Amino acid sequence: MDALIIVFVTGLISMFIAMAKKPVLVLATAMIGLSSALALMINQWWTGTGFIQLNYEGLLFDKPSILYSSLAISFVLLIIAGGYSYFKQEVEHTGEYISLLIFSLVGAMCMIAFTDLFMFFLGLEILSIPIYVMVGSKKRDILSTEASLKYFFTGSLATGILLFGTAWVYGATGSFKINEISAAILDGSAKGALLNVGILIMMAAFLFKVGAAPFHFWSPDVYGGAPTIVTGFMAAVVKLAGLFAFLKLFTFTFWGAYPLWSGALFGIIILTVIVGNLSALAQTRFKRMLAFSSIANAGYALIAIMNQSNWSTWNLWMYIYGYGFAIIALIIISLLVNDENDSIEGFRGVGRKNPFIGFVLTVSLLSLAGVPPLAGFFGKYMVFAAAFKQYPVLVITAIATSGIGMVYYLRFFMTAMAKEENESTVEKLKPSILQTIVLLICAIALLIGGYIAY
Amino acid sequence: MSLETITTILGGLTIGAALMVVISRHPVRSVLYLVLTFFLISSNYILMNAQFLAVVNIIVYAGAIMVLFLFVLMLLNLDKDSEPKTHILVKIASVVAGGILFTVLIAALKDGIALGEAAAASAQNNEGLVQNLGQLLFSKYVLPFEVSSVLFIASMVGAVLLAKREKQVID
Repeated sequence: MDALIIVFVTGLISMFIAMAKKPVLVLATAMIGLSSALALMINQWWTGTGFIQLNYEGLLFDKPSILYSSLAISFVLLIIAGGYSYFKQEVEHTGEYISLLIFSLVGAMCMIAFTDLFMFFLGLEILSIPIYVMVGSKKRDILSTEASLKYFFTGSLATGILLFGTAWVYGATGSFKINEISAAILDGSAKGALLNVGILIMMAAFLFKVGAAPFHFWSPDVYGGAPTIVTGFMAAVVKLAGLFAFLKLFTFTFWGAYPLWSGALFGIIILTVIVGNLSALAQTRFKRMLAFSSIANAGYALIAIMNQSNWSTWNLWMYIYGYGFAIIALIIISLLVNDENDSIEGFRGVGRKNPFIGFVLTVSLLSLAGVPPLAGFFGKYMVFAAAFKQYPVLVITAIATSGIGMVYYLRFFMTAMAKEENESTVEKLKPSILQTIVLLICAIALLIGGYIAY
Repeated sequence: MSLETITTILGGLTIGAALMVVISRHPVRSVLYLVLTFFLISSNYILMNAQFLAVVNIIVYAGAIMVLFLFVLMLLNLDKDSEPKTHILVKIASVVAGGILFTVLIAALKDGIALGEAAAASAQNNEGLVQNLGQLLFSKYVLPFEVSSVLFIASMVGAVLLAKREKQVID
């Protein structure tokens, strides 16, 4: 709770301190604020209590919430540090960009730690609204504006559908609190059809938010049109919050109705992994490829939500850990390459121009593809292994499609590592010190991820 | 007239107005029917003893949002010609999908009748009054109430960011 307040205040201060027209002050405020929030989270993890004892209805930072919140805060820290070179281009807006991302983090934390559906809904909106704005923040770019409008319309519709579903669930169970809902479903006092309709409608809205297959049409356009760093934020932080809220609401709260929603989710996961991976194969633009790869990854992560294991919280965390750090590293490299058309060809020879970037690119791509010593492999392994006994067909499909995934990750890797034909045009890529640190942290996180897992 | 008759008439009017929103071909007429629907919904709220909700519904939806809708529609100047043509297959598919959803919702609502009667029997008469609502909002639900301020500040900052005129760059 105290960490949440600190994050919010950090957002406020970094918004107002921007009036000094010194972007570096904004960056420093954001870094200090978020780091102290992270420190508070870690402290609460070890001691079990926060510095200030605040317990209100609606939010509870228990151990899983602390775990996910810390990961979300770290992602935002890395994204702000890595994207600083982009944010400071327009000095007037630096404060707004950074504070909007931090406000969005507040929403993500509410969505992670909610104990009733009020708080969950508020968190979802606080998470989404700054992102709608940030997607459209490149005002001179028509694609960015289009992406923003598209995301706003489809996102508001999904929110409306979510609220509709919530109303049905409330009607059936008579409560907004997740433990009361869960109890009402388990003891059978909730009425069948009302509850079923509510759960399925809510699930549709959720699948939209995490970008699973039949509800994924917005994501390539939005990911492609958004400013690069915002794409990274959406892929890492929004997915994290959405997936954990999904886990908390479905695997734990709607536990009693498992047979109902697991059947639907089963088909959706198979569709998602196939559609995501096959469409990613055909892409020539980097961010669109990333969008389809994020669809496929959402599909794999949903497998952790499907299976009835006590470890699914931890498995999902590990999965998002591997995915998020790899995406952030790739996004920052793409920010450095800064190709006008955002095409994959623009990355040709990047690894040779700067060996350090080549190394980080290799690590993150191999981790996304799921090659053994890296975090991405452990995430996939844990999720698949836990689900294998119950759903062999699902896991086999997932493994087969991640084989397809291997193809486009490695093709991208080959392009990035290829020899530049025209040596004279080679110019050195120069990451700033901050970006070097961020890339280094991502690479280390991916390399040691496997040891955290055990 | 008994309360039941009033409820039935009001409910019928509400559904009729809502249907007219969809059926009307002219967008402005459609919006005006929507305003009527909101007023009728508000009157339903009053029948359920939820005065605060009724007033807020009129102020926010019928007042602010609908006026905005009207302005946008008048500015957009929608004609028949500018309407996008949809393929007949798409139309059939959407009718089938919508029909299935409608059937499922109606079927599920049948369960709701018994539930609604039980809830009505146990409900207190003064539940929806402003006083009770305020007390709940500032005691039990104070945290969501306060957190919504984050939402407002984020959307204000966002609106300013998007709407502010950029310095013109002369090429």
